[in-house]
Amino acid sequence: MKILQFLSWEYPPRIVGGLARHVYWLSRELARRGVEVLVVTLDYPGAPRFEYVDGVKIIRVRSYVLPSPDFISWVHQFNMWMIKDASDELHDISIIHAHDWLSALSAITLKHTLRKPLVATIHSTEYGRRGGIFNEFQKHIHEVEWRLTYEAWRIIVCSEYMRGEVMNIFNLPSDKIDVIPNGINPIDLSKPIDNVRRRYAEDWEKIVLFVGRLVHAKGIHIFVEAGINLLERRGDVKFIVVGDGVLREELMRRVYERGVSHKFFFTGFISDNDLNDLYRICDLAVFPSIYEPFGIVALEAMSAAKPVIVSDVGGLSSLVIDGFNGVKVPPNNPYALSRAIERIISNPTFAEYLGKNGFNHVYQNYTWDKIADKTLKTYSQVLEVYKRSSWFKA
Amino acid sequence: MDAALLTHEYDGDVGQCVKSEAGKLAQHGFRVAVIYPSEHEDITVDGNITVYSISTTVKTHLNVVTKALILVPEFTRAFSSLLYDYGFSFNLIYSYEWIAGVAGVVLKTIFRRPLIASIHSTEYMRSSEVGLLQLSIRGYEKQVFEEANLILARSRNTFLSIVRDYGVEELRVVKAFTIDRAVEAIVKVFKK
Repeated sequence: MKILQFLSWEYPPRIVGGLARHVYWLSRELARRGVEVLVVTLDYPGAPRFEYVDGVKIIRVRSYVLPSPDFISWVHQFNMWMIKDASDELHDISIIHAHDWLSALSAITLKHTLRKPLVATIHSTEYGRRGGIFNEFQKHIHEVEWRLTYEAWRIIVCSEYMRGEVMNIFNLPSDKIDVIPNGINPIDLSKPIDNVRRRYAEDWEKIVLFVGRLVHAKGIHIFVEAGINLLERRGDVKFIVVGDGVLREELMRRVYERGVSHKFFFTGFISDNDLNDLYRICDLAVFPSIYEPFGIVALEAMSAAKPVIVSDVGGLSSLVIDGFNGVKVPPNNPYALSRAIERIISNPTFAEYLGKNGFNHVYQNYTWDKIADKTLKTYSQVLEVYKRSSWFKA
Repeated sequence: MDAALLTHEYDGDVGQCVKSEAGKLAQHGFRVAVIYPSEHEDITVDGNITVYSISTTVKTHLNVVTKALILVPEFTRAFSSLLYDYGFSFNLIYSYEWIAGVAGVVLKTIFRRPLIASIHSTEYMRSSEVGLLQLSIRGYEKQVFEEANLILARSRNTFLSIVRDYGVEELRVVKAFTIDRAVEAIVKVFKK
């Protein structure tokens, strides 16, 4: 079976969000099972045009060939280069697997021209990301997303929440959708981290960690307000914010104005190694998203056996069993979050209980080998249907 | 001999030209399929001419570039359907103007068929602005010129613009100022 995993711009070393890691780990696990995987992605300074990575063939296509008047035109343009630059490799593929709208045009074009089945993973929707569709730009993306889900033989989403979202937004039947969660990369818990903690906090301070883009959807503003609220009651807490985004300056100004800037550490983007260290040294990780299709960062914290607090929304809600492997709080409520943080950092036994259960939960359900097995099952289903279709003869 | 004629319009000046050329190519023994975007999907067959109107569900466009690119999967879908379901073999892809030319370039890449580009006007002739949109359109036009096996310039000004503004070798551009001259050039390619 030869799978074409079309991407948008993301595959290491080009990492914009979680998509790059998702495709890297999934394609690697599929290759380990003997599946021939071809990844077509965008070029990146210093990265070779062709290479094999862990048994996966990578083709990096030109991303800036012609001027583009806007982002959408650029996205559609690089889809054209995905076809042109990878055309020699495309003729004997079994399945086309597209990720999000960013590769929709090339995926749909190849589906029809090669007469091969198309599988699409919808990681998030424009409607969900924006909380609605408000302008022409968003409407165009929304229409392209709809078209991709219409053309796909099967849809993969990462959570039951996302199944509901794509069903409602795109009017899809439930039985066209498979829920396959995202996986996590195991954190090396044996690596020494003796001096790491003191880089971030005093010995007597509890470390509360946030990881994510600093945008409204991730609820970073709720995290900061909850922190300010908690600091009014106790001073033995340090809040570490990992990630970057449009809200960073505004939030840094906010904590400065409230006189607690020494209690907040905005790290910006950091390496995976540093992030893993932070997961291990923190006392608690908090993910107060307002919109979250899945919430892989919560799983990463759980894999380090740390207690987590998540907002009761989207994919996060289905990852956590309240009071067992984490704590849920209502979204958009800094006071509830502040109380929940206090509850956990004041009770080490409870924190340890949550962390241990979270760790077991992750390793039982969210490793990439399990996810690759489920994805292969979807591919097999699609190929079975394909073999009975008129396209198979073509 | 099967020819796929890709056009962004089937009415208007270009559309009239497409209709006439489709008829004349059919008289020369070509089996012609015209593919053009419309409000609804339809296939009509009249003798040696099949007309496939394609519609796209993506109706919202920010500009003509997104519109052209969103038509690529539609043109290629129709082309594939005619190829696989309607028995066309397509010896030739013939595109009108850059909008359909972009789809022509993609089809040429996938199916390895020769591409002939008919150009009535260029962005340099239509606009003197130097915005990103105009630069982008000129970029796509240049791409079509580079990929096309033959370029048919439909007026003297167009010929001059293609050679002067896009740096295309004169030998690659046919002065096809009339419908008969364009059809003659295509037939000549096949006789070779």
